[in-house]
Amino acid sequence: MLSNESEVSLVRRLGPPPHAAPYKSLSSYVQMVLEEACSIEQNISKTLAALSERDQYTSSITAVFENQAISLARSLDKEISELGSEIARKRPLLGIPALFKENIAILDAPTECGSKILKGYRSPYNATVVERLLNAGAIPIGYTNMDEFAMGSSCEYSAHGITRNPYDLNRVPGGSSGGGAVASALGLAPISLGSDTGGSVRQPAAYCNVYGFKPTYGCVSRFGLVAFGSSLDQISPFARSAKDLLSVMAVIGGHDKRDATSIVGSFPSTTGRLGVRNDLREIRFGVPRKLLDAVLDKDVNDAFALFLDSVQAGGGEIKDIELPEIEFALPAYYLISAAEASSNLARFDGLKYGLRQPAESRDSMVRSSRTIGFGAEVRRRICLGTFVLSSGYYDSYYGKACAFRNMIAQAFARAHMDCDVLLMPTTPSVAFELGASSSDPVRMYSNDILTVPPSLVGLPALSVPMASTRGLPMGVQLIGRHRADDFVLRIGVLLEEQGFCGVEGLVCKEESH
Amino acid sequence: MKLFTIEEIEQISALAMLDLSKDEAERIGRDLSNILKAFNFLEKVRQSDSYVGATRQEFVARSSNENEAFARSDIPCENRSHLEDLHRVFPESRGGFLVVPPVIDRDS
Repeated sequence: MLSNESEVSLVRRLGPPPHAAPYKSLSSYVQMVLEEACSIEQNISKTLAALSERDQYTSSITAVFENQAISLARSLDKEISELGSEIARKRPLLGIPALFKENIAILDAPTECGSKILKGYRSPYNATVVERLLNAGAIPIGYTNMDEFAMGSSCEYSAHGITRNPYDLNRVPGGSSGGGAVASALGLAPISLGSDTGGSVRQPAAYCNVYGFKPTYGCVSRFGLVAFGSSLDQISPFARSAKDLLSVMAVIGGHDKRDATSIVGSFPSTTGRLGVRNDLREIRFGVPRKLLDAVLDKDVNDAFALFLDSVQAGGGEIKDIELPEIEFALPAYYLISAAEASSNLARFDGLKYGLRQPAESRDSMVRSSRTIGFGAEVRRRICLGTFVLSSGYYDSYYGKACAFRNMIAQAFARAHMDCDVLLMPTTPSVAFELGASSSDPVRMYSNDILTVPPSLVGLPALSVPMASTRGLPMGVQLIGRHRADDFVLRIGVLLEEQGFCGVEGLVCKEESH
Repeated sequence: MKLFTIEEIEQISALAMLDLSKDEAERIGRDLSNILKAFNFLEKVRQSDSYVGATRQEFVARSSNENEAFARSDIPCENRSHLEDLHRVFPESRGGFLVVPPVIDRDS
């Protein structure tokens, strides 16, 4: 709890960063377009023209699909002239520009995954999420930067170069989907999709003052997502409001027969007794205080205490819960994800596509292509994964990590018996400085300590903008029960509507001058 | 502190089809040692706590499918052309290519 007014001033919420587009959310974007009464083509042209100017200091965009976007906009304009107002029912995201992380396949686009080994590779098909957004009327306008093959927490490990945090250009935007978070914060497009393996959407969302949602594993099709950790990866959206996330999830969620791990059923999928509620009064928030006391920085801890006070004042019930197991989720996650990565990345051999280094024999060509094509962090994780899967060490490391994964699932199930949703800061600290963790992998991995546990057991988790300190944003994370995606998002909407969180405005108290 | 030798990292990188320079092998060896040291509390976890993390023997006992899988007598990648290379790099006298030498405990 805070003791004096000077500390209270630490937790003023931020507005949009410099160079941000003037709209607040998807619905306000549509409103803005309607008021300007311009065609979709004119609007897309303006959006594309503004990309380089708004992104000039942050470098979040890696590719722009100018010709394809204009051509798509023209065909939608033609459709409007033929169908009139009927089209709104058919295409709920009509003419909305969308950005995608570079590991989501888009037909004929350079799906390079931030890696030299895929330089020049063009995807021969669309991912399911891309197909669904296209059917809904959205227009893909570009790719956003990412850590190579989604391995990293800082967006510093990309073959395209680093992406910077729009709130402090000397700090990281988080990762691995850092480019998507920056694009959302700057309003480069109202829809921005990333992928979340151990926090790759929620952590950059917290660092960049936007919303990021990781759905239940299997809720969104992974077909067309270049695999990093197949049992953990989940395509996840960024947005500038919780309502926007609901709109996007309604389009991209739901069963896909092309993904064997896809959950049968449509989105939204609210779990049993939780249902839909209109206020915070009946909602029980579980807080693992003992764990948080041990891992949080003072600024984040102070802001979170004020946030809890606000939620309690708004009628929410705060319950202390014990969740000691999640402290140990980090090693399990890094061993499992490295093991899966070493297996998934075996396909990049210079033979079928991507970079090929000339060499005397086939094997030396493969080794040389992989060595030159993969960056240092990817090579490190491949080596770790190869080691933990090797004979004699499988049971000691990988087997134990899998055992722990099962235990943490049981721990979450126990915790959710006492509360509707778990509440904790998304990250233990604010965005760190560029280069601060690059020489110390353990330090970099420890940034994910609060985002990894729900990923490990496939639970839905939403990061919402909570507060800021010294001009740097902080996020708070809501973790729901399995398949309670809709419920978690609706709590996000409630918190936003009642002023407890959001991209703009003040959370707790006015800043003292 | 547990340390990897250069030879061990070379064997791991050969399995992963990577050519590492001596400097990088040393750095990765150091990084892996640090990572495993930071994660050593996994030793508290018992594999019997979870079916998913059960040992091979436990799997075999519990599942007829796995039993069939592990009972296969054929050698993985028997017909692959690079098997000879693997045997050359990982001679049977040193445990073969499926065995990575144990991590050595040393005082740093």
